[in-house]
Amino acid sequence: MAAGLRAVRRWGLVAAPPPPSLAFTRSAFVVKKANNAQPNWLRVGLAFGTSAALWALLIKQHNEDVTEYERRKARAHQCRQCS
Amino acid sequence: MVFLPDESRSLPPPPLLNKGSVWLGFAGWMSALLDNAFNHRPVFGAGIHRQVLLATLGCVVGYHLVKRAEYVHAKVDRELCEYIRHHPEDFRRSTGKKRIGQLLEDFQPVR
Repeated sequence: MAAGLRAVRRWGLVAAPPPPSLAFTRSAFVVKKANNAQPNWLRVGLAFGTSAALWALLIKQHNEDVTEYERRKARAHQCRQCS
Repeated sequence: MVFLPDESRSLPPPPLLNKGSVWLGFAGWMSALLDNAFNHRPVFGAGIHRQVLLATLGCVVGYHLVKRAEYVHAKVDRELCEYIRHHPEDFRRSTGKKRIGQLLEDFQPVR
């Protein structure tokens, strides 16, 4: 998946001859060799940032769910006027 | 069809790390490790950002799937209990119910 995305990005960045019209192929004629020695810091930053945002959203959603459940439980007990 | 209807919020929410979110988070992490293996990178040490992102995605998807599953189970249970409540004649406990001790013969130890 990442390798395919890397190939697509490389088509956009490098002014190579226009690749064939197939979208996600990994033909050796159009894809350059991946260079793992020089990380793409933008992509690394985006990945970590997205992960942090997703965790924040998940924890916020969970806390909202807990408070909503407690609120509804309290309201249900109040309506029935039990202990 | 709504993924999580409003009445699902009346149910107690599952814990943040439940069986669904842990399992799918683990599956996301494994898929990042597999991607490393298929691209001839060091399996554990490479692409930490990828591993973290895919594990996080797995946890998020797992949490919401477990919420939906608990809602569906609670809905089925409610409909079942309502049916039992509306049809008591079909669920009457028979008075002549025998206990298992009455059906079996007495135990005679053979020594």
